[in-house]
Amino acid sequence: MSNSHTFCPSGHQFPVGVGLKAEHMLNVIKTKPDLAFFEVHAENYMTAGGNHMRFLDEVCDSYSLSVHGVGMSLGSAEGIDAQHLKKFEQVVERYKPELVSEHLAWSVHDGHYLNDLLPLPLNESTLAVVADNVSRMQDAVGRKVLIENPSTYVAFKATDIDEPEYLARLAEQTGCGILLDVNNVYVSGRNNGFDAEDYLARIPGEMVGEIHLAGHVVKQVDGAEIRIDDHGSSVIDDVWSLYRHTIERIGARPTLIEWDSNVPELPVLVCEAHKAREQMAFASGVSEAIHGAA
Amino acid sequence: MAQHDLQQFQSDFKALVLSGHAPDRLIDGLAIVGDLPPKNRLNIHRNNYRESLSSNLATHFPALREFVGEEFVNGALKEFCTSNPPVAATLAHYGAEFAEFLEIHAVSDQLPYIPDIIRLEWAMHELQVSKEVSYNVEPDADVELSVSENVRIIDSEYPLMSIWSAAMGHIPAEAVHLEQGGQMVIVLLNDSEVSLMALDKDEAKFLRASLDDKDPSIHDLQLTPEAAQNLFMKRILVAS
Repeated sequence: MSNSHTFCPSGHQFPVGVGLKAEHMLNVIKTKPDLAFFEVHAENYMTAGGNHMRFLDEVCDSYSLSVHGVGMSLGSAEGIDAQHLKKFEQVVERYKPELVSEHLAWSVHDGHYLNDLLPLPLNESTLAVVADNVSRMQDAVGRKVLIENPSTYVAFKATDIDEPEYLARLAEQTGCGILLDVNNVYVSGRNNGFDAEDYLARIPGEMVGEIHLAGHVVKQVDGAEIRIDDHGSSVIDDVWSLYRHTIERIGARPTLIEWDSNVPELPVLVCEAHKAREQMAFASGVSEAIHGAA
Repeated sequence: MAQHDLQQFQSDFKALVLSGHAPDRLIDGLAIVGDLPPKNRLNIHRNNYRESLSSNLATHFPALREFVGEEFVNGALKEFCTSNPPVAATLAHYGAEFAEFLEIHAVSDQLPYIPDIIRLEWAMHELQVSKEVSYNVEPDADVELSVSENVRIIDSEYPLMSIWSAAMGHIPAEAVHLEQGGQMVIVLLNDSEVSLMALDKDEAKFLRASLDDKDPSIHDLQLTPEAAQNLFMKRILVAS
């Protein structure tokens, strides 16, 4: 078991956080919920001004921050956009987050942003492209970036490296870390017919710097089941089980609850994060109730 | 897969997301897994694109939703998103052309003030993510005035402020009289808050004339009409 993760804010042996939603900001500032950190999407803070930026300054006075990018398009054959990279760098400079992350995906092609985490075939050629883009991003922000496994719905004939090996090699080549989204592993496994436990067992634990958990929706299309990563509900039991096994294997890691659609009141998110903290403590061999300092 | 193949793959995928048409070579490149056919799987990404963008944009237009309903707004925004894809991942400025997009839609024949409602709500959103500019509030006598950068002006042929207020439930719908004529509505960012105000006829006339001349500067505040002084007091005109 490795405990080589670098983010461990004081008073938080088992750090948990939630995605910071605009509708919760004032409540967070007022009530200061018992959490170690918040995560924001970098793109929402690339504006010239706005109350949300001022409020985030206040949130950062009391909490650690994770800045999570959704639009860098690290899988783009054409490379990453210099202007977007500059804006990302400015967000990191302003808020000085503990964690910075992006996705193993692409979303930009020929001047248009497609607002989704689009899949790419996993092979030597695309690995070279992604590694170049990750290195460029890390050089710009001057720090290690964690790369998240996305939820996938399609599989490609041109894929000849599976995702755990791809992420591990990407981390070895670039020095990046892995943001392990356990729900995404489960969703992709169910959609594409691979075993989520096997996937998770093959992720090098020492490279994991953060874990994401979220809910997803099950849809039936023409009698066939497909799972969509909508971040719109509670984490399901199967995912909690995978999470506990992961913590047992790699040790405690900063864990974030994502909830981006059908967003409930703040206490519901906090409650879900506390559940993650209890599960992380339990899987780490600490059975008594855990109370972190906000 | 060489780099130029990845370029082609991403070009094909983009076509699918924006048009719904998946080139054969894109489908042929998919492995068969599970019971759901590859084309249905690809369509998840088209749906993700349209749903996520349109639902994000819909939050900027609450009054529009009141007028034409949630279903119409969602449908119109999905059309807009596929024909006007974002050019940047920072979506705060995406949607500025929606009023022009809807201006040529049949709904604007029936409810001709709809594009101005959109312009008004877009202006509110735009100022909410803008940096507020500081101005000297007590200028010298020999001052040059111009329109504040903290202001957006919607000069409507319809009683826009009343229409918007009715949509938001601030006044009863019966209080809106289209025959009362147009209103110039000011959207103002002041002390981090965005507010709306309708100008009276003299103020609107003065501001309209200044803007038509493309020279809103006024060189001596004491010699300007009362309307200009009011506009200065309301922080619409500022000392340059």
